Amino acid sequence: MNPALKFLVHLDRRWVFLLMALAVMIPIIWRMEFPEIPTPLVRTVFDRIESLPEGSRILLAFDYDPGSEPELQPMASAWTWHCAKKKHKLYFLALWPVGPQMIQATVDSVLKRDYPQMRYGEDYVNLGYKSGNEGVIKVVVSNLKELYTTDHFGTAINDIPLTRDLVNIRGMDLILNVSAGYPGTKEWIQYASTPYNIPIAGGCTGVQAPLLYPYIPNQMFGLLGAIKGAAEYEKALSDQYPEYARDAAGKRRPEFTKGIERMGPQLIAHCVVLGLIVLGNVILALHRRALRAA
Amino acid sequence: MKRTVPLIITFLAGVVLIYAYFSPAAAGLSDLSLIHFDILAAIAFLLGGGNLLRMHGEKVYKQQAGWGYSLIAIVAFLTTLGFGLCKVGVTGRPGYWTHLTGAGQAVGLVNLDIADERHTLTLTVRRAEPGSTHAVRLGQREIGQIEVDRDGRGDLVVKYDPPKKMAGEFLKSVREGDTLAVGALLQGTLQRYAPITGDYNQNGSAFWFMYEYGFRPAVQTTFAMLAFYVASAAFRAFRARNIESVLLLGTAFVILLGRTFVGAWISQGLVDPSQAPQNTWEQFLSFWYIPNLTGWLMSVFNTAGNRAIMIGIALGIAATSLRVLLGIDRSYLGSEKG
Repeated sequence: MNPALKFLVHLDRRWVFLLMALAVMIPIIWRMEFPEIPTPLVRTVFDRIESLPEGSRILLAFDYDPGSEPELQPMASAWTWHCAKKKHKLYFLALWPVGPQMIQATVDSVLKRDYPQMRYGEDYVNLGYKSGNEGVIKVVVSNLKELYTTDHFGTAINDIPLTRDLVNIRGMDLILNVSAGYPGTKEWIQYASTPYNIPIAGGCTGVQAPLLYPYIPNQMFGLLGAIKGAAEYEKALSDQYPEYARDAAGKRRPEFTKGIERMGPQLIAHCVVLGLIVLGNVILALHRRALRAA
Repeated sequence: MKRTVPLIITFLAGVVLIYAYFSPAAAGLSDLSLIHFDILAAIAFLLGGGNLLRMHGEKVYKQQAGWGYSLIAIVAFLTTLGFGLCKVGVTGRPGYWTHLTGAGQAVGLVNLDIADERHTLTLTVRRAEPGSTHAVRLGQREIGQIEVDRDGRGDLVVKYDPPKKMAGEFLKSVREGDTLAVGALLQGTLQRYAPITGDYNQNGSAFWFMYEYGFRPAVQTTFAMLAFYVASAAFRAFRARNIESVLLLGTAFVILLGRTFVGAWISQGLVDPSQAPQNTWEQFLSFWYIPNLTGWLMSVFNTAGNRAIMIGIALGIAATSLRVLLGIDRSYLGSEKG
């Protein structure tokens, strides 16, 4: 057998690991970026938030953890920024135990930085985490205060202007759910959105997106799939509001364009995976031929 | 009895939830059972923690293979739990408080909460002489009057909210050790809130440190390693051995390309993304534009396949739920023994 073919047939997987490491590292170091065109699913979500009247009530459910944070945080930040820009009232909650940390990170990096005039309790509220998965959704659609007696920080819910008169979440104008699995978008659709006609849009990880397509468009009007969806949303936002991606001096704001930034490594990594699949099949064909010839 | 009671509870909770779906009159009962479910879910955390300690503790005690990892798990669990419960390194929430005490039966409580620049002073008096009125003094300054109702209760709220230009700017200058007096009736000295009132995950706290520099990087590293295994698996296992695998490979190619700019770039000659196709030929070409092809694969084949699976699962769940409700399937109760 040809020595090169022999080497490839028995290729140590650490070479593949090294190749993948380079595929991810090089675009990050060189800051490689590629153009994005918002797809209809992303555009629909953007237009819906854009068209809601000022002061609309939006429930932001952050159901993810640090494992999926690099993939989902960009869309969580972009949605929060957009809702704040449109002066909507934001209700944050989480069905995942570390969701409150995700919420707080978003509040600190988006609202406190770009919208310091927004006031806790009047413009946004963090209801925190409650255990019970879809059981929590079933309760908050009928009587929120049965379960949420305080916000995340222990302030009585009746002392918070935004929640004082809130009976349940049926009055929400929109639910935006960032989800990394169970419980997540599927549960919000099944137990809140569909039964009570509350419009919902989801943002999810790449592996989850195919499972959510069956709900589009009747039960869920839009979906941001993984980092690609986030990058497209960032593009739509920066087209409409140039200050989102660039500061007053015209300098790029990397903290708000993480999605676009992370599409570089994703592009190269996808190409490497495709190349490896092709290479693997070519090696297989050559190996079979060599075995037959022997 | 050990099995009969859970069976009855399951049956009743299930029937209530099904009935409440069709009858709004039973919504209250449905809420009640769901609240109980949420309480049980919270208790499950305690059981989970206990189980974790038991399993790993046993492994460490018997020094079974990998007991060192179990020890790390126990230490990490107890440390994080301790930091969170004891709020190590947390500072109390911004503001001051004090009990008000005096010679008589009357008691009072003062809270001065500070959020951003907003200051809210809440004064509550109980068991005071009904119908009496008292001047409230903060230091040397009179800040208002408190009227006690016929039940001996009196409340006073003073707010300072800069944008709304409300009265009460003096609240900004309140310091620890200032005295608050309700006439000659009650008096107290303001003190800072204790650390227990702060958020367990406050920036700089020990729990925050564990989360930010331990849990978060560990989880993200584990997740990121998937990329390497996926690449290795793609190279070794993704083989075009038959028609089905060729179709799967083709779909993977389109989706992988369609989820990046490469897909749009290599098929850009087929369509002008900025405008809709004008005629049949352009429609035909635009179908093969890779981002469009990706969308088509996802919304047609993927959706059809997933819907079929979901309907099957839903029917299965309905059947299983009925078996559980009727007590035919008792596997959730565990083994018959013991």
